[in-house]
Amino acid sequence: MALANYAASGLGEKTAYLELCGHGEISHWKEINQKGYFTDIKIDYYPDLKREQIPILMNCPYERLIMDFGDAYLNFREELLRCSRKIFLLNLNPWQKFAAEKMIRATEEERWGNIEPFYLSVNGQKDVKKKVEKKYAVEVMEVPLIPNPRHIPAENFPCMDSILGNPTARKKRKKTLIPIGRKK
Amino acid sequence: MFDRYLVLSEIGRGGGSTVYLVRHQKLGEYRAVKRISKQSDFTWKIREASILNHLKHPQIPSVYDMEEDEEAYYIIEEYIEGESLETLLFQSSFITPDFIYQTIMEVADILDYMHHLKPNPMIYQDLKAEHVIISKSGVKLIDFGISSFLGESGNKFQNYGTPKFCAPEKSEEAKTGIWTDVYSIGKLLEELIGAEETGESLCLMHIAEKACSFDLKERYITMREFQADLTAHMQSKKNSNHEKHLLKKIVVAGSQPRIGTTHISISFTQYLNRQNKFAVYREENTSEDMRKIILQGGFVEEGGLYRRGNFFGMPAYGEGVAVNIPNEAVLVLDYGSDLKGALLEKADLFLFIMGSRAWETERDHQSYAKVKNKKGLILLTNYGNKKQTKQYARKYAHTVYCFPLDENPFFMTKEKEKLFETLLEQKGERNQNDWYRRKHPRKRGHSLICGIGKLCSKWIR
Repeated sequence: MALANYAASGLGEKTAYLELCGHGEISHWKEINQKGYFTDIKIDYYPDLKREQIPILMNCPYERLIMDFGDAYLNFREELLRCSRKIFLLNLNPWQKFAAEKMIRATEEERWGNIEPFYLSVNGQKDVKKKVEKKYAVEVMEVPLIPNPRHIPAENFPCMDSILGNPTARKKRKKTLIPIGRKK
Repeated sequence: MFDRYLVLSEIGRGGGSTVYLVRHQKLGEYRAVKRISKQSDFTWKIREASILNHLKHPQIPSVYDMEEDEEAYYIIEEYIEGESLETLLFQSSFITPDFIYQTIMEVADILDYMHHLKPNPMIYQDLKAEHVIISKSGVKLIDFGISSFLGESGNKFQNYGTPKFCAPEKSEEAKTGIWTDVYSIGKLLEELIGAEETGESLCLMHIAEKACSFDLKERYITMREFQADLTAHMQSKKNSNHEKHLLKKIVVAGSQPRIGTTHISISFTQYLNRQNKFAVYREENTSEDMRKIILQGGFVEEGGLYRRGNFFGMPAYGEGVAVNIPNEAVLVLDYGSDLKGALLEKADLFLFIMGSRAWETERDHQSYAKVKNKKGLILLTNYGNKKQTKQYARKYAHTVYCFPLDENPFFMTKEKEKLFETLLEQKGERNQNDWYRRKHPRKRGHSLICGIGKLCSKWIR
């Protein structure tokens, strides 16, 4: 939801959020219109969407479709294959580490061409994160805690840009490594 | 009178006493003589002489002498040359918020002096416009006939005074105190606010109302408390007036789409930042031009703002994100052709951009009609067409500036710099920049010749 908000409000893109995890959590939030969605801060939310409806939405004039597969990601392998960014959120807390490792192992078996999966962790312990990274030879990006996903603070923009693969993302200019004009 | 004074005229009368203007025969000085008839209840009236004798304040008249004959008592006082506040109230042009503040503060000073007399504080009890004299040396208070020392056995004079200015506790025979004078000064303030024509002083009314509160708990307890509130209010009013001259928000709107509002807004932001004023461009239209410029590259993101050299810009963000713009920043809001939104925005400067091509003029006229009454309006034509600019100026009877034909909004040219400098002069911003000019005086002459000169001077050393 935070990513959808950033895409819509921060990047000005026409964005849709598709709830595919089957929990139907957002269906209780707002009243759905006849077309099966509701709008909040320029985002069209499609609660409890069926698999067969995805191709229809892909033909709609959306610039960004954010699909929330939740823990049912393995049931949507074809849809996952179509996505240009494949983001996996890991919970690296000790009692949830097994689930994170299971997810990494499952995604390792998949072949998505040049597109690499993008692993994120929230509230993870750094040493655990390092161990996981070393064990599975993957990079896990730590996401800062965003208290309100409908209100993204400016300091989180670079992180959001990296996750969404926004081409405008630029960090502060680093000092050049070439010693130009340096006196001997 | 007593061979020493020559009576010149009668200057006042009331309550069994008459006041005369007299001149000292030998010294040639003017004095006021109060004649109190013995036929009236004179005992409390002659008390004034002893009261004034206790008071040593530059704004309270001095008592020189006291005489009596078979018919009357005579109190010889300092003559105060000036007009009573009551007379001045009829000349409303004289009454300004500053005059009200100064007068009330000076009267409050006198009363505060009386309230802090030792061993017994004194209350005036008869404050009204008639007893306040505006002289060359400031405000003076006269007629202390019913003033009384607090702590004396009983306040026997509590039933006297002008009803309009009398505190309710006096008529109710409750205990009077320094708060009684606070009530009267509140009433005086009310009267002055009512006499002021422009209505600018109406903001002081809540202070007057608090001072005149019937409930003692709600009223100012001391004169100093009243003064502090009045001063604080005037100070905040002055500050807000000063702030009016500071540039905080600039709105740029165009008569029609594709007229160059984004180009001019970026140029203006660039200019302000070059002048050491932190300015931020904010896109307030739906064109998404800012985002397109960012996509071209050359920008660095800093806390949601995009920086390129001196320029700081912010694309049109939605409600889902929060970007904090520093408070000290001057905002340049680019409304594009959204005149409705631009007119709703309160701004220090409203730049209205018009086209200068033949097919643009009709739309310019229509849009101008909508914005002509906007505060801080500055008219600007684009594309450097001076002929059309002059025509607009003649037609609208308004100064119209001409924005030069420009290629790159991020590059500052001399023509653009001169134009923006003129626009800020209109706003009174020039003085604020003067320190900068003194510190870095404009270099004259050719830069190459200057460089050779510097090299020569180094070589000579």
